[in-house]
Amino acid sequence: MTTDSRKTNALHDDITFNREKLEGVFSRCGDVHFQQWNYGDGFAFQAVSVYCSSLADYSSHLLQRALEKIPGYESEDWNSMTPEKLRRCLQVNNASLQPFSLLESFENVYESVMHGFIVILFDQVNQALGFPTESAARRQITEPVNEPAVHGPREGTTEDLSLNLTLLRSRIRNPAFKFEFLQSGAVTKSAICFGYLDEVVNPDVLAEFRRRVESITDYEVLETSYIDDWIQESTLSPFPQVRYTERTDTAAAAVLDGKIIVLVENSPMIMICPAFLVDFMGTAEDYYVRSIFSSFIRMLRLLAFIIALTLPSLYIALSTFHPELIPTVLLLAIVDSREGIPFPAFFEALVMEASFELLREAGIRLPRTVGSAVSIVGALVIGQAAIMAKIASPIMVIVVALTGIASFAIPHYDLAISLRLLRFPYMIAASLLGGYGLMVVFLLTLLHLTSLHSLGEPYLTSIAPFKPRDWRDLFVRVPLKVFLRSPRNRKLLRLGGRRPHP
Amino acid sequence: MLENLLVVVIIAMALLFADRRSFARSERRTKVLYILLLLPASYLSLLFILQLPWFNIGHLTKAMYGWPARQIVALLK
Amino acid sequence: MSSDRSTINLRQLAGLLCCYVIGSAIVFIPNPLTAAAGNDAWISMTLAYGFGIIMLTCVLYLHNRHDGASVIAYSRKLIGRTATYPVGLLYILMLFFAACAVNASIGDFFTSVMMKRTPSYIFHTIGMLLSALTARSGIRVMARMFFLLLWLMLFFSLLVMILAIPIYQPAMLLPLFENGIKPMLHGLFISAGFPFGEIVIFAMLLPFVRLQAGQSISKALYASYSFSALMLIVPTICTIMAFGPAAGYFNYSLYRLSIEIHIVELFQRMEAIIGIALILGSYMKATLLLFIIYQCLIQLFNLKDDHVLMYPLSVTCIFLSATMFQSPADFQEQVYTIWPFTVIVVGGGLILLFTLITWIKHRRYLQAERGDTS
Repeated sequence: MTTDSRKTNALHDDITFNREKLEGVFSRCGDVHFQQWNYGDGFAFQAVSVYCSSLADYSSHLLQRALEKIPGYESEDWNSMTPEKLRRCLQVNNASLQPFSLLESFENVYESVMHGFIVILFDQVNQALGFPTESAARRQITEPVNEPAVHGPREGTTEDLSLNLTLLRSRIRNPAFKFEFLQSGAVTKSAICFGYLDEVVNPDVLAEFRRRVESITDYEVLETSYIDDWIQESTLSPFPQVRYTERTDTAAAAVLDGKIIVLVENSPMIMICPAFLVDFMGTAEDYYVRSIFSSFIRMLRLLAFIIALTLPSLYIALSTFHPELIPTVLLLAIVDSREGIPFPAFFEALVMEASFELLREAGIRLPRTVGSAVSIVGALVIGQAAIMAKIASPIMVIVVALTGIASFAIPHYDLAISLRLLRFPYMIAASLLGGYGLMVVFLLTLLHLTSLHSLGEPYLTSIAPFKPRDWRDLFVRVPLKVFLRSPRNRKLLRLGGRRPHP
Repeated sequence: MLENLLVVVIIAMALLFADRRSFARSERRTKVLYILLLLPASYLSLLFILQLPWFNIGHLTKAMYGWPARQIVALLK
Repeated sequence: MSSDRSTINLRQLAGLLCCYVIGSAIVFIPNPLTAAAGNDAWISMTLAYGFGIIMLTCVLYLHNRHDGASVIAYSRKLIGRTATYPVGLLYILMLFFAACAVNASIGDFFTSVMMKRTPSYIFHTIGMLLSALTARSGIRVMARMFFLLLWLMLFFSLLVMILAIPIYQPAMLLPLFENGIKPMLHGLFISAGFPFGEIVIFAMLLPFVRLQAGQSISKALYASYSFSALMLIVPTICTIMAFGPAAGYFNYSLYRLSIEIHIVELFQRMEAIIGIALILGSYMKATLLLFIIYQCLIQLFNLKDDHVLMYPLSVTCIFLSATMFQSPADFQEQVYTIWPFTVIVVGGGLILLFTLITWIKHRRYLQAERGDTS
């Protein structure tokens, strides 16, 4: 800003001028109020309070009490204050005016009012006082709906950024847990906050993240996923390159793992980046239940992953191109059940999958009361009637149902929908070239995954490049005693200024 | 013959589509080599479409290494 | 490191060597050998492995002596810039043959055993397209991917060999040298060309490795090469034990072996899975060869490494694969008579020549140093 515009933007001595300008800017903002009051000997001097009733709580007594203190610096009280004394007071006691902040320009006043401050302007004084009172009622802390857990904390994030930060800070009470703030958007001015653990996060990753995110300050960020869209490496990839969570324990665990978490005001979603394929296969709950059980569950999830991706295409390939691979008895059953179906396996699979997808989407959008009816109707229609009308065979219905169930078993929704998407190329390839086609799309998928990076790190970290050490937390979950002896944990102990027990 | 022709056309279109921008942006020497590589490709695609048994890499290698190779094998048979 | 895109670590290089050597050989070996050498095929292979070790030693010597420069680079130093062009082009011709032969053989495999009614150009096109896309992503991506696929391929090969144990008859390994030593030498000639001698082509990939302190490239590569040789010699022995004199008759030995497996109703007719797993090896080899051709071209002609030439290269290879073999007999002659000669004499000869020149130059340099100081 040039000196001239700074001059024109600075608050005036004349309170009438200031007030008129503010009223002009805040015209038609019905929730911005101007309250005039007087002070001094015989209430000779004017003051105006400006506040936005949707954001600020004007009835708070805190303001009154804080205002009482100001004349005290000059050993006076409001009845004997004059503008000169006030000016002197403001100039001299700059630092001890807490919690008031001193505002000097109109820009500051607009911003303060819009952030829930009560701004007080004084006649013959070219500075204003801003008192923070933001107290908008927000949603209570509840259990996150999409990430239920049988065992473990039920604390979910809300739309209030400072409350979310409170929840996170109370989990990691360490000065190494840094929070950096950005403000984005010329209009919305939403606060973006990203947090990381200083010695544990990979400095290259952090630098890359900073480099990518700093240019988002020009855009209006309404939700955390805007940042995801901005910093992700491949927008065309079906695979998610960041993770989302509403659970504070998941976010805290991610921070301890060296990840960066991103929060945006007015959004409960915490974005965890960089995210690798292996991260999507685990949940926080894995660490709260017994290791044998969670190892079993993890292997089940791997199976679910494979089924969700390949079962329909496998069925098509086997039944059309390689029937010799199916055990004879099952083969006879399949052939028997496919008797009289006019469509080839691929078309049948396509119809069933498409119906299932429609059913799923319909189930999300419908109001809760009708939702359960849809699933019953869907099961009846799709399942039974299709079979009886010879549109699909029972085996196909089983395949489609199993695929759907498997995709629900994958803990992260983003990965599940990417598998839903990938199923169709697999089915097409299997119907064209059978097992060879499956191998080709598998290789293409593998190629894509291997060349994908999340914030500069390879997406298939731990699998390719092959790091056998990491595998103990991948498909199994080793007991905590083994885990706590890991280098990562030793690093964390050093960070906390402690040495491990021998 | 017709399906082979179709295959060649599809491949040519795919090549054009994939490389038009990067070809334009590359150095002169790369462009020259690119064209040079397309020459045997075109010749071979002709052989492929018409299924002609004309001169191919087999004939070239046999001309270069054929006699000594066959001698060695005859020696070892 | 994620910022450095064009180097791989030692373990990845060793993995690539395994993929390269085992690659397409696991599908075809030991058929041509058993056809030529009968029961002595495994002896031929062991001796060919010895030949390969000699070649590997030369390659590593050259790599170390020239501080990790590539073949084209030290060829320029040793025989001059003008002579490198024809030599380079000869090398490239060899590579074209290799890459397209591997690609063509994938197509032949599928059209002869699994999908008889599909025209072979489908496999040539798709296979080469896959290889082109993979090679285009760079060596780091290739190394990462192939490490995984290698284990998959090895797992299935071992599975076949283990499940086929009931049908082995060790007596079929004897008698040795039934028809004298000549068939064994013939087998040695073939296997010294394919796959063991092809190490001279792999030399082009050595400059991409980035070593950490204390790592020895020689140890890792010898170990990896020996492991690959083992993984090829064992199927040879298994095939001879399973099929005896008929081993030379079946075209795709390991595949044929998997057809013979019959353990409980569930584990029969599994050859489709085996076939697909084995083809992964050929895909990896074709990709590596394509990448090596590309590297040769850009280094020979000093071009920028921006992957522009990858697609026209692969298009040329597609049509070459589709047209190079007129008949199975032509395939036999080109791959098992001409190619071994090319690899041993031209490829091996070049490497030996470079080794000799390097050694002489080094000795002269040492003598000059001694002469200076004395």
